Amino acid sequence: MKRLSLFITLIILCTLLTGCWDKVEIDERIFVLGIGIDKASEEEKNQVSDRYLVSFASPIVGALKEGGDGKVFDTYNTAGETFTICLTQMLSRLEQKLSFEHTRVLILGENLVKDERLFREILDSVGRAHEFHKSMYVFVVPDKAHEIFNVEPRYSKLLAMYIAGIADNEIYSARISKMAAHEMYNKLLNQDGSVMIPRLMAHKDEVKVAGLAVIKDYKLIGYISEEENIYTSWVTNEAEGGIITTKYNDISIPFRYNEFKRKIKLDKVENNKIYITLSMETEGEVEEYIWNKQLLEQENIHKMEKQLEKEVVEQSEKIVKKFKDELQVDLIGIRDYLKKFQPDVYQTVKSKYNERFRDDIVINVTADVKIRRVGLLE
Amino acid sequence: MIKNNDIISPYQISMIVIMTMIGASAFHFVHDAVARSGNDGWIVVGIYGLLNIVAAWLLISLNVRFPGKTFPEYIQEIIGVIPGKIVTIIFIAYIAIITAYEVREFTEVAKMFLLPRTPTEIIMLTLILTCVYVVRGGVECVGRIVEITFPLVFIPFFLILLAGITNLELTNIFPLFRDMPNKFINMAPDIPHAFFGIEYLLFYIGFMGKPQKAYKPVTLGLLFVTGFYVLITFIGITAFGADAVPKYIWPLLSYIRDINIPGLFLERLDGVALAIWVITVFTTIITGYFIISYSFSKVIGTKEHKQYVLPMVTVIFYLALQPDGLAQLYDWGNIMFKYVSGVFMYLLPILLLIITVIGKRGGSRNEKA
Repeated sequence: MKRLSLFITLIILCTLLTGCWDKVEIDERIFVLGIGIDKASEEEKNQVSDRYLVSFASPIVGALKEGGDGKVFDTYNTAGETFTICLTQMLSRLEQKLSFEHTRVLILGENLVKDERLFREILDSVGRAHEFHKSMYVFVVPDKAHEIFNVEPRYSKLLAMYIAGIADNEIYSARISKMAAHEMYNKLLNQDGSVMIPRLMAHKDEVKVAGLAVIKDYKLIGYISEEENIYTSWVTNEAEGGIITTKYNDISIPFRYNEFKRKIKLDKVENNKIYITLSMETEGEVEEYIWNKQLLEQENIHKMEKQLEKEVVEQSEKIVKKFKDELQVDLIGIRDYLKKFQPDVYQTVKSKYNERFRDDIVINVTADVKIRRVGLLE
Repeated sequence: MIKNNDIISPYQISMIVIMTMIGASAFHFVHDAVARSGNDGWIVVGIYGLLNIVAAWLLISLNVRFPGKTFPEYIQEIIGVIPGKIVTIIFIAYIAIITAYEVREFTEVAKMFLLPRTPTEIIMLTLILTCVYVVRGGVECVGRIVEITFPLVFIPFFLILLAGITNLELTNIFPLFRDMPNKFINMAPDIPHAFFGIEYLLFYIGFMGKPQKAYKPVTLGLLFVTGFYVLITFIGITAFGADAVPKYIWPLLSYIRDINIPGLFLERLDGVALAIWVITVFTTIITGYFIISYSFSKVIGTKEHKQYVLPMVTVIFYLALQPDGLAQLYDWGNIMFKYVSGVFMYLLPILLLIITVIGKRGGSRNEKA
């Protein structure tokens, strides 16, 4: 009798005390690797109230396993009034559950970023929703975000991984910029709603990370071109590696740097004007000249360095001018510097900062280039 | 009065301090600290932490006068039996409320991140019932459980924090030392919230063989807690910037969530962090729960406290169910920790100490004399 009751108790315990409301097996999940968000155009709307077009790119696990040439990721588009509605709508079309733990890229369409209201709503919903992590990379696309997912990359199978991989190349080339979502959020909060987000361009069988989208007061106001991207990363101190080309004795020499430092110094405050010096420091190597000519000679190198310094100063000043006069927004970190290291000066320019930046902050650029190595030939 | 085997070691006392104070509020604490004191929050927290060590010494010096006795016993000696019992009951009510607060806060976070479909009541009940088992075992059991869980919590937790070190921007701590007096004043009301738990010492030191040995372990424990708070506030400020931190309800959790470890099987660490966090919440509840049931038995005047443990579940469960949601929970918590905690943490012990000294009460003093 005792044994029987023990047995029955155990059975009851097994059925009543085990169980899990929130179990989702791995084969019941769809791992979304890329999210694209657009402002819905008239023909894309299913209902009048729809405002967003959200696309998800996720790998087809079966096709990945088999290999072969077939398409290995799929894209789903859905239109809805809010972002969360878009997420939920997918449940009625898929047998699995969307999982965002491994999302790599978040792509925003131009029309969305141009619309302040929608952009702020999306920023909030992506930032607030607990499903999302913020180490994914953010990009702005000059046309529709979902068109990116139609690209079939030549060498890589998974588009989102491919894009993330390009962004990771920023350490070798200052042309490329990457921005993780948490950086974007921090910058938006610390720079009063202004930020630069890398731009992504779609081609037939490849994509290109080129240039930056400039956002001021939560609104897209313009782009920085691919070329200017280099100079922008110099002045914002985000450059890691890259190349500067200059002409010396009528020969083009590419100077490759692995380190680029920008330092800000406050020179003086005079007549309500703030004088600031940006000093650039970089070192690297030159591995291209012309056959049978000597490069390894201090005087030569010194002249070259001067030439390169001139180039750096020139280009940096140009881009600073663009920020000051054309875009009229401080995204080069002067505000950050003043706030942290010159808080007394910052108090005087805090209100209407961008106007003060345009009119009253005078920026001077200096450069210090060091050629350390010249390759294998003399 | 206390059974022979109900003795906790100095080491366990310092673990009780640490595991009680670091609980459900640790994630939210960064938000408060930075919202009040900006980029100098970590310095302000550190200095307040050191001040709390002094407060803890006062608590211990009160306890030292009554060796082998816990708060519900010696308060009856100090202010008389009936007033003593009334104060004890109020104290129990206060600890029950903050224990319930811990339960609810943890449940809300767990429900959001880990268990969206599991009913709130189930999460709470499993948490409380697990604690019942430990608390029934007596003070030794409580002491041992905090001793065992301490390395289980903090070693992995520091490793996780370390993983995100590349996301930190160290210049965010500048400008240092601007407008410090205001920052101190703004932070002051939130300090009891961060350092609640020192009042638990009034109960636990009585279980020590020699209460005068409590100074060192309590100081070490509080130094650890202060160091921990300084570290997480520092991480919050450097990871997000002083203006951005208050936008996050749980900055530390957001920081852990943003960590990206390429190529690792466990790509997201927030699940791990939350799983570890369960343990710290669990120990915070246990230390409070034990005080409730133990003091209750002293007020009633029974030898054992075990029989009160299970019925107390209903009280804590009921209290934990009261807030409508996270917003109301934090509203009530603010009132509770700002206005009530300080009374039990600083005011009451100092008052009792004064009465004891003036009235020349307390055993150890007589022995010394």
